[in-house]
Amino acid sequence: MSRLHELSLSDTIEKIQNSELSSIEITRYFLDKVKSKNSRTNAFINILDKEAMRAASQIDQLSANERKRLPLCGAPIAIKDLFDMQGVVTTCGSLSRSDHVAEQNSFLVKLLQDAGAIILGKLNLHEFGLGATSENQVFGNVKNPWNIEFIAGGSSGGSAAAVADGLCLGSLGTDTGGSVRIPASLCGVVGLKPTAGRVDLEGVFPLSKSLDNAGPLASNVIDCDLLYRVMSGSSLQIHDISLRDSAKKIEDKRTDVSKFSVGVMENLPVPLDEAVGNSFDGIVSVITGQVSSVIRLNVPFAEYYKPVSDLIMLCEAFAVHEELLKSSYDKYGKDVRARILSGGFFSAVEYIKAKQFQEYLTCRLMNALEHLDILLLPTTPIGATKIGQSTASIGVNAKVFDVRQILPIFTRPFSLTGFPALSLPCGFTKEGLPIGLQVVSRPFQEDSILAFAQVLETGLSLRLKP
Amino acid sequence: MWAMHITAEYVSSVVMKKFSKHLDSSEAESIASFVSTTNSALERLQTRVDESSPSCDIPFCGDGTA
Repeated sequence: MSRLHELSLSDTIEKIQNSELSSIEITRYFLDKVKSKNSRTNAFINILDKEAMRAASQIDQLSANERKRLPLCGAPIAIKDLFDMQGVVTTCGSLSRSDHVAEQNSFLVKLLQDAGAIILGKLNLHEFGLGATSENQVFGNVKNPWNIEFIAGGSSGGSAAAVADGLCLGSLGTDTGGSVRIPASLCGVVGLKPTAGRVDLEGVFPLSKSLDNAGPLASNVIDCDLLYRVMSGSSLQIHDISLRDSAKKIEDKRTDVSKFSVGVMENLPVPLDEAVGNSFDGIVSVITGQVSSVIRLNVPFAEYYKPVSDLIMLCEAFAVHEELLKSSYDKYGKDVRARILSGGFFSAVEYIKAKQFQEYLTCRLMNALEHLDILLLPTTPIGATKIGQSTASIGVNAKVFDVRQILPIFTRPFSLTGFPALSLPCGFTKEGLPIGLQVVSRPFQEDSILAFAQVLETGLSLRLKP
Repeated sequence: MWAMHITAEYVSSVVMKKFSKHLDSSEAESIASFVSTTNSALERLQTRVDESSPSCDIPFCGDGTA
């Protein structure tokens, strides 16, 4: 038992499949850990003790052959509290939803459970997924496991903090403007936002229906890939997925990585924190010569992705929340309420124009990446800031930026255009907090992203633990 | 765009109509500022798009103009 904390998600599944460990043993170990350590980061807001132990018992009653057919057999994971789970409250991190018990499982929860995953509990977040810090006035702030005075990033802050702190071996987050990748970057874990439309969001509380997405977080690329393959498969295909297949797909692609053309985004719309810049330059130096070509390029209209996505996201969020706001106005956090309300003050014409810009920018980005396999840029321009800190100074001129505005500035382009993107740990800030590298590709090229990220992770020994 | 010229008073009046019981003036000002900044950015983008090449050769999105 003492060595359980050293096992990866893939190792754990394999040991349960091979009867070397029982699912009950693993589940109890992680539930105990959550109960004893959660107050440190506040990552979990609902521990599903009975449900998890019941599911683990069912796994242990299966035959060895049946267990081997489950790609996530006994996998101890947790989910952001935007995903419905039958009979459990979906709070969305808000007091306004504190009595909303889900009648059915969301599609992704069902998919994961059908694959043998054990859901340990529900994870804290920025209220309704609308914010990049996971400072939550109702359930308490999610704290960064590397230093609890700092934010975990958001909005899937609990999903990243729980994995980074070893409270579970994988998690689900949602990503409308960077909400998987930003906390993954700030907490030093791997987080993937798949191509828009790749995963089914039925039963996930919406923020912005045309930009919403969901993705996995894990401590390494192989585990992230395994969760992604289950999330993106249909229930009919689920038994065709196995650990071996997942690793093999990456292995097949690994041989191609040396043939990749890799783009490095030059025209970043804001300056980089010195440590972020140094880490990024270091990665570019390392890959130069290891891939077919490294091309520095400008992404067209880079500074406009954020305002266009802001307008679309907030108009759509207001459409979702207008009625609930009328009845539960005082139950919303003040910051989130003001942002949602602002979506009500754009005209229909402005919304339509923003949607047309979205299409235009998608075309331009597709053109820019036409001859590339991978595009690299930092996930965030800064590392985690202190909880409650609203501004940060960056660059040689110490220009001051609003933390909430700049955290998502490098993730928004790929949310607006629907391109897949992954955040991979790549270094540390001067405070010793993790920094993330964003690995992007064209739509439906997740295999290329995962293969490239795994080569980098292996080559640079980038796996981190607080 | 007309919304470029939204003022804190205008936003406040509209918001107050719908959420009259609760909203304070600082929230209204924050919303007005955000709406105005965002619309200004989109106006600048429109100008940039108008000045750039109008065609796009990606098949799925027609001529690519905004």
